[in-house]
Amino acid sequence: MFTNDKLSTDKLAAWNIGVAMVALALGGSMGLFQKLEHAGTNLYNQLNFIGINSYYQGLTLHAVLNALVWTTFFIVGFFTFAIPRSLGRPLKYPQIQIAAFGLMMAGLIMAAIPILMGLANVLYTFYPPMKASPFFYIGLVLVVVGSWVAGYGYYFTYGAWRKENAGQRTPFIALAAIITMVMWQIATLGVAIELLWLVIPWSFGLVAGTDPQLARTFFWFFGHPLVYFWLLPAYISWYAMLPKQAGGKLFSEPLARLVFWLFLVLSIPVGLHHQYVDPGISAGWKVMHAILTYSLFLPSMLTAFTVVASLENAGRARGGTGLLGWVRKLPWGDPSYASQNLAMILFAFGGISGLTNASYNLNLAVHNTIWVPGHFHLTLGSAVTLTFIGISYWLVPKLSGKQLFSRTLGLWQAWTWFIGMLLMSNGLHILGLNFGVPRRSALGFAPYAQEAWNPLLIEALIGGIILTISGLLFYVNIVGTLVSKKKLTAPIEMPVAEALNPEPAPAFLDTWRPWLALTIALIIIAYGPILFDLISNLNMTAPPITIR
Amino acid sequence: MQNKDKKYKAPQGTVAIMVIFIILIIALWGSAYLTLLSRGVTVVQ
Repeated sequence: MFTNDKLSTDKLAAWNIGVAMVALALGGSMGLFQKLEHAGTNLYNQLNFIGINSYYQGLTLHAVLNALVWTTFFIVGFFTFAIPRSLGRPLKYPQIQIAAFGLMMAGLIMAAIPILMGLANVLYTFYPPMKASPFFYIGLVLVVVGSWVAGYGYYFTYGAWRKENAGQRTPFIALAAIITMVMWQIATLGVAIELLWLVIPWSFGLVAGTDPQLARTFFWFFGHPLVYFWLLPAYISWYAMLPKQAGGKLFSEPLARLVFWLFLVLSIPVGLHHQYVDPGISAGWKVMHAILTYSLFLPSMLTAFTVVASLENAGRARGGTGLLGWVRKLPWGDPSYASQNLAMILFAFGGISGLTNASYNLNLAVHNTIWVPGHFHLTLGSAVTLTFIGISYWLVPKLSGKQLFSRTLGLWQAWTWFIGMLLMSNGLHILGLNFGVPRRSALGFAPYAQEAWNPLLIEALIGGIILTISGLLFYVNIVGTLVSKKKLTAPIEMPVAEALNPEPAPAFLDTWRPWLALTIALIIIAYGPILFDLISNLNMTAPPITIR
Repeated sequence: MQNKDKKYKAPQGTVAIMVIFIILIIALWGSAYLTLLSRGVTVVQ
């Protein structure tokens, strides 16, 4: 690429990642207030000066900023940086990426104002009949549409590369990123239909009632693949960047490609496993989605195997011997590496609790309990967030042209995140499983709260405090890097791991039509009849409920 | 052939880690399942 192209791409990436980091700082800071409230110390009145008055308002801010804004902006920034480099050509239309950023920012501001005014205390799932200001929903639509527009920019760039390189295999990073965007664009159709048809007209008062069951079904059409929209960019780093950072090679590029195609096919037709206790959907469809959810175990285990094998390759290349002696040889002194490897370890436990959630019968033991946030803090809060933090440790110096402020601080940050998350998620999991403690509840006020919960609530609070310290260390490092006068002494390039076997992957792993056809067919089979049934029996009667 | 075998040596450490992971899955999932069972059953008359 020409230098000017790289500069403009990098600026676009930097703006997206900058907004993501501000969102994580604000959203993450709300987490401590939740843990304090659960342990009996309500400090939300200390936040009146920024418009926060209640647990539910703080929780909405925490979830929307962390789960939707931090992730979406970071992923768009990361892809904007990585796709052109992977393809070895500039963005075809950089102005599309600028338009995408503008739309996402407009949406973010439009959604943030009602949250801060206490007019959108509906959490990030915004289940009707809880009702927010219509501008909250319109803002979310704009963020999603902005991310679609970003995707179109990548598709044009990919199309241009394809014309210039007929017959060649798409470079893995670009292919995996574009598969992720395609999966996202199909999945977000669900939430777009929910918002535009069932929620926004109702929130404006144009119709008196809405249909919560249909709205939830459309939400979870999007809600579970949303998890893979977060995870797959982290997987891209684990598969294709981390082995290079560790001094090794990607163990099997064909397996890596297969995994991304499988996630495209299998991520979406699984949403009913979030609705096992919903009364309006028959058990047969739930069982079908349970089986499809379990089929995601295959690409997940392939990922675990391939990534660990790539790291074993690196550890042995660094002189490691014996069955597990290579683990110690990995570059644990590099904060970017340590963050991502620790993220993987936490994710292993998140995967296990995810299998519990996905089990049709076992889900009943943990459904809607605080186990669930315990689970997704190991996935979104660890596998994704700690990996994105690890990526930032090389990407922010790359984008700013400055040396990382402190590697030691970065290592402290990674390990404190690991320890804090272990404590917090352990407390939450046990509270949910053993005591049935509800999620999304101001437990400090709950008349049903029990003395026996206290040790675990305190464990979770200690974890939350350590996580807050870890977050502060991260921002000291990032801001320190940005204001530092220490320029890079050598250029940083995007790490790209070579494949252990340099032969090109089979052609069917670089062919879109069969995989897209399979994706659409499976969605129609898994969702067609149930959506037909729910729409045929549309029941727009639920009046709004406002949460203060 | 000998060179090829050396280049693609089986990742034995990875296999060991995967075995440990699968045992962990069985143990933790099983423990949650036993918790479910310990709560008894609801008999619908």
